[in-house]
Amino acid sequence: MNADKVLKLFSGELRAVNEGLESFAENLIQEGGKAIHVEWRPPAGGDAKAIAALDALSAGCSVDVEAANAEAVRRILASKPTVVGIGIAADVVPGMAKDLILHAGPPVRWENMCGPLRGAVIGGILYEGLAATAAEAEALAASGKIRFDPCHHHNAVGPMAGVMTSSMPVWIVENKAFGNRAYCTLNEGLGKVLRYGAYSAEVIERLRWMASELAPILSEALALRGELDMKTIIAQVLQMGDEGHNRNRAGTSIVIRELAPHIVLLDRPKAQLSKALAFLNANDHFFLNLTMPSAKCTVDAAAGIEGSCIITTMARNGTEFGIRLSGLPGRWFTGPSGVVDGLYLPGFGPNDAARDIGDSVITETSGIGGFAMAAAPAIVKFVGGSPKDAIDVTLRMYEITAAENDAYQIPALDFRGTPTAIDVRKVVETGILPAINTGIAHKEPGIGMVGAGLVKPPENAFRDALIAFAEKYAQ
Amino acid sequence: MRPRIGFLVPPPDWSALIVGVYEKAISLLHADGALVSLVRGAEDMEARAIALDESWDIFAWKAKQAFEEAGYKRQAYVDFRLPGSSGVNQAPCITLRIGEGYGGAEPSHGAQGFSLALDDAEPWDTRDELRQGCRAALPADGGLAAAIAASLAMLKAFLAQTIPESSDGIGGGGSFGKAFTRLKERQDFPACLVGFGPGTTPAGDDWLAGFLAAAELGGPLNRLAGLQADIRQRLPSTGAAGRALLLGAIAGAPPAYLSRVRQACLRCAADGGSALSLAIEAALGHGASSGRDSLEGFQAGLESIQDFSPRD
Amino acid sequence: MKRLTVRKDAYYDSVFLMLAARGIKGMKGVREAVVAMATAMNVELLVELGFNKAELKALSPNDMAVAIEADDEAALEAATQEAFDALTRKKAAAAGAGLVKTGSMAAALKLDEDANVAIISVPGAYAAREARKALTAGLHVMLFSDNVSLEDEIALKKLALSKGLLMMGPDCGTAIINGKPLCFANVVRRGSVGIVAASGTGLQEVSCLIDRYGAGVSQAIGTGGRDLKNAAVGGMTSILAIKALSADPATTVLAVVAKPPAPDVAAKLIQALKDSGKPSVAHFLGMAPRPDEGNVAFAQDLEEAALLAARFAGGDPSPASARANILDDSGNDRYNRPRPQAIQALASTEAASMAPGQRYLRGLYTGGTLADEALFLAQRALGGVYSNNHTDSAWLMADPKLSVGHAIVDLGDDVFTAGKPHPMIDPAARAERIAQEGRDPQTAVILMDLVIGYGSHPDPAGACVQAIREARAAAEARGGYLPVIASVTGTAADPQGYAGQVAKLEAEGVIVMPSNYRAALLAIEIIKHRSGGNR
Repeated sequence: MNADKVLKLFSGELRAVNEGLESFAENLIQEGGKAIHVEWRPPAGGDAKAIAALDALSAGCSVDVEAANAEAVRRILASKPTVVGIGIAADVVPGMAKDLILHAGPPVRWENMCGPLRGAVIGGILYEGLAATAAEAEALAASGKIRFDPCHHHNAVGPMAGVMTSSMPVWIVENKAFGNRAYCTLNEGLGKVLRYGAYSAEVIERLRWMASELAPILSEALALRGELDMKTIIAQVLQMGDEGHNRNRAGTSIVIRELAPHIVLLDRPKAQLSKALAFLNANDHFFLNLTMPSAKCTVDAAAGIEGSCIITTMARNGTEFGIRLSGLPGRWFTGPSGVVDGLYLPGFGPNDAARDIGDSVITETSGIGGFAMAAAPAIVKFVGGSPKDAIDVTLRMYEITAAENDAYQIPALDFRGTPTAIDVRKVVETGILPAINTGIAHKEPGIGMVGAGLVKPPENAFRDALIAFAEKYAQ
Repeated sequence: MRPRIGFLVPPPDWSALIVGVYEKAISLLHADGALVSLVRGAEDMEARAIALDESWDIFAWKAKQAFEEAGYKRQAYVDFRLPGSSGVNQAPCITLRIGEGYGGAEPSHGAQGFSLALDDAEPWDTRDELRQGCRAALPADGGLAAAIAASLAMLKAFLAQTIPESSDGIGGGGSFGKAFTRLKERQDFPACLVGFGPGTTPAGDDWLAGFLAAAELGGPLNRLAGLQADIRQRLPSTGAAGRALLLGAIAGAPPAYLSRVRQACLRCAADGGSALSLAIEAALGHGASSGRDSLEGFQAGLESIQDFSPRD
Repeated sequence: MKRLTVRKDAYYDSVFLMLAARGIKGMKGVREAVVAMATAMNVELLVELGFNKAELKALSPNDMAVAIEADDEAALEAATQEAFDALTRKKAAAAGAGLVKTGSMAAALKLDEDANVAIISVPGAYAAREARKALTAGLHVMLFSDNVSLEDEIALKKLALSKGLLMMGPDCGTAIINGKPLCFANVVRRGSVGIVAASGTGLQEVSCLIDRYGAGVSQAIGTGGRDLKNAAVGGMTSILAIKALSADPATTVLAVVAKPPAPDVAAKLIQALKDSGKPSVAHFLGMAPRPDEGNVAFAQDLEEAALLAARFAGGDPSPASARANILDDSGNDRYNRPRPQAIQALASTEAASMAPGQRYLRGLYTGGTLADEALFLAQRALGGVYSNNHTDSAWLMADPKLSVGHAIVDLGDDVFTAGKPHPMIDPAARAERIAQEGRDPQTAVILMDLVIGYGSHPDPAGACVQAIREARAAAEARGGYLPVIASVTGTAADPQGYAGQVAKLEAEGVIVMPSNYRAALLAIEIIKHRSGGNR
């Protein structure tokens, strides 16, 4: 029996970690002691199966999970997302076809789609000219003649409803480190827009203008400018008060700065060029549709690593929230989409809100967005709370991630890297769910954004993923 | 930075009760019925405020001791006086004093009698800023009208896209919001907003401060003089915080955060609104809902200029 | 139903006004809530909303009005309370701001790589898992949680032992490490006595008395109740603690306080004390008197354990010299303990004005070990004492909530604490019980403990004086007299302060004795006087 360690305790300074009753830590501090308090929650919310899975994984695995996760982290950090151009979905997006409509989130059938997604599907059908009226479009959507598939199954992502059809122009973002690509439509602005489920004539008209005029202008300007290194730009916008999901003001400004000198050189009527620039300027969120595919091709590089429990996809379709793990390729784990806890635009309230929707949570999956809240104190106004709350959100995310980003840094945290690469074990163990910033869509199609806030993903999706992971890998 | 003394701060000597010590301000209830505030720096200034600059932290800390240890009996005072009686150019001095009848233990940390000389304090007066700003904006392309039109568009877009922190405000759907809609129809609108709405500074006072700050860009119209007089008459029907704010506003000196918005408006056509967007964002963060309320007033003020065709 | 509440001349931070309004609007049964300055325009609005016009017109624009409309009185009351709580909350939040918080133990260890002790008080079902995590991370553990299975305890202690770590608990309520009180503990002078205790309040009483006798404590290590009592646990923690204290240069005296250990374990324990070579004292509650062995003195009660330890600390080299130097109860006492004669005299005075029907001793305890000590003493002196702690099922209280005959009640028993805070934290249940005993005409003496220090209620004396007053008044109304005897376990440095608590009790006519042992003696003497008088 060796009492050395106990003697060391007696001769040194007492430094406690307190778990449970907070007053024990407070008392120690009052007596001049040192204590850190752990806000303890039952692991996995007390779910016995999930606890057993956690214990089984920590007892031993068939693969070296830590090494697999380290490889996932290496790939995420090494990724170099770069905007290489704009193309038409049918030409560039793998598997895209005239009768295929891509949507946000995990797979969902027409009959289970929420209002905004249905509206966007109707709009997509009208836009493609597959039907002449909304009623016809709805009938067609329900007929089974249209195929639906998640954007994520086609290397793509889409904000809110995330609807992409074959003739839409899309951003092409290439991960220069690994050669994989990701695609996303162009952002349409605020108000009545397809991604919020609007399909009125003005919406379709704007989409046509974007395809016929805006996309060619941007594409030509980009050709003159050369490829855009998104990693550098995202790193920059975090220093300028954006967090990469809900605040995109700095990012949009940078894109305008980068493209404007080349746009004005294009051999097109001045009015066209001015309209394009004005459109970008009026839409703070224009940059989001560049951040999303950048994040997508970044985490895609880490997908499919045997034995890794890093989350490589989080996405919602307005009905369900789903995640995928690197080490369990092809499998979705889902739970009901949450109700966003947020603040509303004047005249709207929680009763108007659709459930959580969109692929934009790919930003959090890659270590920005809600995970970088501390970089964007201004956004606190959108989601309620104080700048301190924003910092706390980011600090909490370090507890469920495997790494700190080496490129994306937060000024307010002394340029600490953003929490990156979510480890599903940590999520289940601590009960700390990924912090997701998001806009709130009106539940009826076509009304648009009615607020913004933070949303809690369903805990069971993470537990189910962990249990499946343990089934495959624990010994 | 040197300490600054707002031009509406009553001249020495006076003594005022400390009624609140907050994160960014100490509120003093002056005998004239309006608050005088002690604040940290220029960004929190207003016409009836004194910015303490680097001495703020220590003074606020001592004031907090004095205020809280007096047991919320509000018997802690700040004296504002000129030491001695000799020179005319002497710097005034602020001193913490725990008043008579104080029952508790002597406050620790030496709060009693803690004194700060406001050496080389500068007078603070945003009216000059406005005059200079207007002059500078005039030759800019499109002139004042273009600047106002651009500002208005930007402000509108901002307010439509940001979410109020509370639906209980005067712009929300609650009781105050409904009452506000009715007040808009009244003959004496907007003067009837004095003292109306939630907040220690009633939201209606914030709205009026914003309205006046913007409307002044339209030049010295007689119409404004009428409104200013009307508001002055109604000052007794708001609280001490509202009075302080409105005294500045009717004198043409809105608080610093509104001045900043106003200055940015003047440059809006020239710089593409980059200064304005920052100023609006900062203003939205002011107080609980004060920022938003005053910006809504500001928007109405800009609209009123457009209605009346500006002077250029 | 509407209510208007006003704060005159109030200048709250607007942010808090808004938070207050938002908070109460979300409450159940609240229909409308307006928090605003009582300006003319706002008063007009509130009158329109149906609030009392006369009341409103009397207000000035510098008054803050909280106007609430709710479904019923309860909702109204709750909302008003919440409004003002919300306005003052900022201060409370700031007070807790010094404490660093994290969401997981792993994160805490990242923040402080030199952390060395985990204090765990999570629900029992999860406690073993958390303790294992802490031990694996190389931390000593104080496991406050109870309801941990015996297998888990054994496994944890084996793991701890293999790593040379202290595993205090499960069910360890008290420890003092490096002078810092952990969980339920007192602010005790630092000194040279190292204590190992299987009982929480026993450790508190001994450490406080050591402090009062002028000595101090180097370390006080809790082990949990099963460590020595259960042969399978085999005193793993106790033995390691004694080994460490034996080697600790700051510790010159060892003291052990526990219920009687399993026989094999007792032998191992006493051997470890002997091996230490340091003067030692052992007290096993309720065990028959036992002669001292070598450097090990056996104490009969908690007070004696503390006295012997203090004597050793003061330089007495052996049990014999320590005992010789403790002036016997017959002499004058430098430790301020009333002599038996004094106790006799006090008892006879107290017993004099009692009514004939007052016959029984009623001990109302918040500390389990203190209750046990009183029970053993009373059982020995009076015989036939009921208790919910009794090991003899014949004398187990049929209903712990109702005293019959002589009774010593441990109010910290699960019967009382299911779904409620422990009476040391919330003394309300004991206050009620005092009043209840006062209504029983057969109650002759109320005997009670009062444990202060960290973890305990901020003012346990204040929380029971009203009940004591009622109980005594009830006895007097029946033509009798009800003595209340207490002892206070605590020190002057405790947050509640020893002297203040004693003064509050004495102001109610309570006789405060210097230790639980003396308090029990006095109560027993009074009962003896009653029996004598009846004879």
